[in-house]
Amino acid sequence: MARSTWKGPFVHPSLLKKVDKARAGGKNVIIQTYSRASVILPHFVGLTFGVYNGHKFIPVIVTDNMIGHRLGEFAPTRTFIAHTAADKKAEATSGKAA
Amino acid sequence: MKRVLIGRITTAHGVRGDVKVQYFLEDLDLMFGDAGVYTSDTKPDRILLTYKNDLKGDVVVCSVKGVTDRNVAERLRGTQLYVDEADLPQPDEGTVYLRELEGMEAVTPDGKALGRVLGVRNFGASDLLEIKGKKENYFIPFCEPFLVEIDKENRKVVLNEPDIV
Repeated sequence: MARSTWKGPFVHPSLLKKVDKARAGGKNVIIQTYSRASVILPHFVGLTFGVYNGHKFIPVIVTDNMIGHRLGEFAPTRTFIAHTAADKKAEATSGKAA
Repeated sequence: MKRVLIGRITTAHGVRGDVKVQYFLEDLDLMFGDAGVYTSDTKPDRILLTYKNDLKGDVVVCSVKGVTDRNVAERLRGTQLYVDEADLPQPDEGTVYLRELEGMEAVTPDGKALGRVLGVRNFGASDLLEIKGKKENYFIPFCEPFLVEIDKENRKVVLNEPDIV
């Protein structure tokens, strides 16, 4: 059964506190959390979360197309390493795909 | 000359000697050049592939010059495909190939060593640099504000160390 809409999206209360703390802090802050089930809210966009995958914290930079998904969706718990495209390029100063 | 892995023949396709090729490229033209592709990272053997059609995912159907029946195509299963590194187009000024980052040293702007770069991973959110630290491997986002610069000459990646909340 789907979650009742009157409850609103689930976000762990401690995560909300950390988000407020991170917003007050510097730019290169990673918010570490074990709460994989927390839903990504619009005001999380631009923040970086370290989402625990059972082994280590995987950095997840939140973008607007991730709103409504859960943090755990971006930190896989099983090892799968795909080949990086041999000709994939990025800018040397920003990391943006070239 | 160093070669770069660009794909792998996964299996035969149909009865006319076609094969399925999983590619590790963004620009497929590299695979279908007139000179063909190497079938090993050391030996000089080459095969000439011709594009036929796309399949789901990073897979294309190709015909191989000289292969006309399925039994011969089956023998190519698992063949890895390489091109010379020099055949890849030169990256523009200020850009790097992600595979070049492997083995580079990760340092902070004030010179503190973070470890060695194992590669670039993506789990669906953004590109991450996997770094082999002193105790264990860890990830740092490969974007601003964490990435400061890549020094190709000295083989160093300068990164801002993240603050943890």
